[in-house]
Amino acid sequence: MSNGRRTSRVVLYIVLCLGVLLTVFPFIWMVLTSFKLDGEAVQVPPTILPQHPSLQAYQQVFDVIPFRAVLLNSVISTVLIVLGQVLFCTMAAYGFARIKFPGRQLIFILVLSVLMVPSQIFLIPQYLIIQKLHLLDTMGGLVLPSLFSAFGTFLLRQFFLSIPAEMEEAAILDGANRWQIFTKVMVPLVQPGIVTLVIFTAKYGWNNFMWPLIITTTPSKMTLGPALSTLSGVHVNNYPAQMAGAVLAVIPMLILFIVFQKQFIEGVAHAGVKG
Amino acid sequence: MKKIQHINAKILTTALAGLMVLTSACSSSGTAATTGTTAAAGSDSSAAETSAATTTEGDSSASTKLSFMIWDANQQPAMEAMAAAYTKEHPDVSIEIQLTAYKGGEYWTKLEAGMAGGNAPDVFWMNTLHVENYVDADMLAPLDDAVKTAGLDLDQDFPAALASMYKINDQMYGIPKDFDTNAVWYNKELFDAKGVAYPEAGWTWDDMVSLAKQLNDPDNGVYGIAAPLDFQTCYYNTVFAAGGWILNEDKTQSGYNDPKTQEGIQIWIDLINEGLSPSLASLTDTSADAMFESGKLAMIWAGSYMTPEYVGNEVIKDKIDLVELPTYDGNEANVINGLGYSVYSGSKNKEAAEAFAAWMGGTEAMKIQGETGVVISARNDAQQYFAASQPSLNLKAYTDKAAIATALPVSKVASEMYDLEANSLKLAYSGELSLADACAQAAEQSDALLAKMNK
Amino acid sequence: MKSALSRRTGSRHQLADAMWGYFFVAPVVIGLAVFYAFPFLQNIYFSFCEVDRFNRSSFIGLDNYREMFSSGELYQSTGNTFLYVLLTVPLGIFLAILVAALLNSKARGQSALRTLYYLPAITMPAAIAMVWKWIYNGNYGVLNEFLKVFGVSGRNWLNESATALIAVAVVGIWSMVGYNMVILLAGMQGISPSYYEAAQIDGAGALACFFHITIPMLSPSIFFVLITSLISGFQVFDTIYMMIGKTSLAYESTQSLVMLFYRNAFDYGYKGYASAVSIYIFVIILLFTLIQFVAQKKWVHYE
Repeated sequence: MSNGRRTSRVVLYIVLCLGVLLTVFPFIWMVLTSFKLDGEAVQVPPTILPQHPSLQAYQQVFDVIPFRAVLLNSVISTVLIVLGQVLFCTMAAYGFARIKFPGRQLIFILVLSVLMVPSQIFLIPQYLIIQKLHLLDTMGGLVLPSLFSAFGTFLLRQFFLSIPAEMEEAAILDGANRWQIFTKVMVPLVQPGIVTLVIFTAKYGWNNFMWPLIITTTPSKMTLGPALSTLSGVHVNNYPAQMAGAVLAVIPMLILFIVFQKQFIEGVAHAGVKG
Repeated sequence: MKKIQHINAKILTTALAGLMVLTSACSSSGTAATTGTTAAAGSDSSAAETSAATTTEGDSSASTKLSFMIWDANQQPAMEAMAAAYTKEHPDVSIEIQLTAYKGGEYWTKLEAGMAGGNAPDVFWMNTLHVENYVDADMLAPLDDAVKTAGLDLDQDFPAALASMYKINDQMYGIPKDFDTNAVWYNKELFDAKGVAYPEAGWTWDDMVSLAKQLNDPDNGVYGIAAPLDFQTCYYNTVFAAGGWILNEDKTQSGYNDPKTQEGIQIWIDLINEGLSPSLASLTDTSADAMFESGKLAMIWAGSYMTPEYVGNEVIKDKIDLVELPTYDGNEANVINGLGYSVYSGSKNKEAAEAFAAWMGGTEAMKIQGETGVVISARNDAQQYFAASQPSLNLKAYTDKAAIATALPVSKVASEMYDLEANSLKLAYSGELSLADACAQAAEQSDALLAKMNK
Repeated sequence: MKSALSRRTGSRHQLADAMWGYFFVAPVVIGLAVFYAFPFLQNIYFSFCEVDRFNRSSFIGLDNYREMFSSGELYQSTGNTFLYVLLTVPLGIFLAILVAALLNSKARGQSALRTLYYLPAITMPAAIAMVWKWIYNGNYGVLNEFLKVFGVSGRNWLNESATALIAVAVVGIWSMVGYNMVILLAGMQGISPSYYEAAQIDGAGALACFFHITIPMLSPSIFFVLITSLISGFQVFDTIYMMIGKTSLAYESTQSLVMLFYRNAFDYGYKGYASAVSIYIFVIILLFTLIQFVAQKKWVHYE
């Protein structure tokens, strides 16, 4: 029994590690490319390790992009988008999952239908709306359309739906109103869902590309995504510089993910106590 | 309930922490914005150097502010220097340069969004692929008056093919900025290894084929030449040399069915069939440029815009040179294309924008641009700077051919037509269809498209 | 329990409760209406117009739809897209459940592994395309080198209609596993340990626990992952756009619906026609989503 268990454990690790190897390879490639010289990156057959490891690509990134300003803009807009989405989506998800009101199904399907249209459709009309609001080239214009998310609403709705009804009913019997139930009972219970939403929204806000590109015109107001795209010229693709930019852009996301993983586990630990 | 309250307290602290992050972020954004403006206001050459992308030329108290959009980061320093020279002459004007990448259509998406909303940049780069659509939609201001005021003589000062590209319905919508022509680059090391003499001006297509045969070494992954499915760099040049054509004068018919057109394409397919070039599938996987830059290709046809890329490549930069395109059937031909400076018709400072655009076509501006060696300045008197920027290379192979060059055939449906053409011709390149059948298909589809366009 | 609740809630309570419902959903609904529903309505109108690059429109009735349904491209793209969905969604979800379950078993180094599995989701698409293009490269690719070891001759994976879509689908699966895994893992961690403790007392094995507790309790998350994977599968664009060149012989056999839409809207400037294509995409996705919502009653267990 214990022998069989050990074998299955070993198999499990081997499978997991193989999967990881496949999964992280492009990321490793990105890092390796960023240390290559321009010519080496397009060499055939490709070299795996940089032959003359160099920081030239990183230097090029800093030369072209006002990195500090751009980084700050990215952080601010991402934080605003995350906070907005967490607040609005949690509320809406609770409403759709737990409260009966006329038209609920229909409205929810309409909300979902936003996800079904190719997102490029929204670009120009949203630009014209933001222009009417006189928010072009501002932080407000940058984040406003992203504060409302059908994806986030749907995600959290599923989490609310999987919470046992008894938890809520007990609170109702205690005479709590909906807002109190929402903040005191329900939100803590969907914490793993909220953490997931934060991780996804942060990634979305951080990597958002086309919208910040057309909405900002002053270079100092740009975010990381569009700024990185200016690295590539007309005909020339400087891969090391692009990859260096990508590495720099991924690092904050990676840190965020690692930090929130802990939240993940702690939140779950609490949920476990409650059960 | 007790435990839940405990969790709730924890959530509250997390939320508070989040809020603090937010407020601190907001306040720091405030300071960032202010420092941003101060830097811009006090911007002079030193500020421009430290952060290239945030340059605001001239005095912030200038009464006229122009925005100027470009797409090439490599050319930004030249554009900044030109704008600085202009604002020095015209202290009442300040110019802000906006850089948006071309790749993936980002530049055009941004420009078109701005125009749909009525607030595009005042001056911007234009290319031949888009100019007719933009003129058609009344988005560009005619520049004839500004040209006259600035004393430019478009017919005398610029290659004829180039000036004609931005002249639509007898009005000028773009000041020629730069141009590109084609030449053949070769890897001297591979020639030396086989003891083959380098090609020289006046060589013919047959010379090229026999050189390719001598240099070909597929066992070592080395090819004599590459025949990618590239219209502007490769087969249009030989189509024109063979006496063929792609689009007629009044843009109502395509020329794919002309046997002379097909002759100019067939000679490329023959290179693949004879094994002198990698297959189309192979060139789609590994581009001809990548092969040449890794020393796996002896000769490559390339536009002048590839120069900075090749000479900047550590692997090959000391082993290469270039020669003019070989003649075919005794004829020389070369496809020329180039950018222009255009002005937005809805610009709030249209007059100032037009004056600036016209000035960019003048001697001084073209000299600044040419001396960077990144592109060939459009003015006849400034073409020399490009060749002079790399004295060890025969870059005159590009500049010398502007006078005899043919303009790249364009129309309002050009990008769609290029796609149709590639879709058909790739079947001929890979041997799935005969060239005549592929061309018949391309002709039928293109003519239908042109008919729709002219309706 | 349910009756206890309904006993307390009279019709006045129901009305008040409905007001609360509207209050909770209002911000998202209003925001989406302004920034998404309104543009979408405009898009419907545009699908009946000729629209140029600069959003100037003139009404042409059903012409866009007539042209769309009479072009072979539409059906070819539809077929390609369905095939892509079929190749990626089932396998992508299956692998995500598998990885999530493995990571959820208190394996050592679990959090490190989870981070690594999530990496594709935060790696820049350009890097992803670049690496995979190199892996698939017909001349120098690792894949062909690997196959050579087993005496299998390589191919031009991205240039042959027989293989290109499968090659793209592999990249699709690869990039969705880590993403879906995060959601499923969160769902798994939300399952109260008391269920497992009870099952263990009853003497249930690990597999029985997985199929009788984990999967049913996880079904809301699986449902979410299924819907979003279907939607993004039907909207596949990035990987194909970056990996399949215009001169690839597999260009037609990999062109997805959103590719068709994108090319017309942004490359050619036929925004009206592109709007009609987008409506077509929308209807297909809507149908599939509705089918899933009806079918979920059979297999998704909400508490």
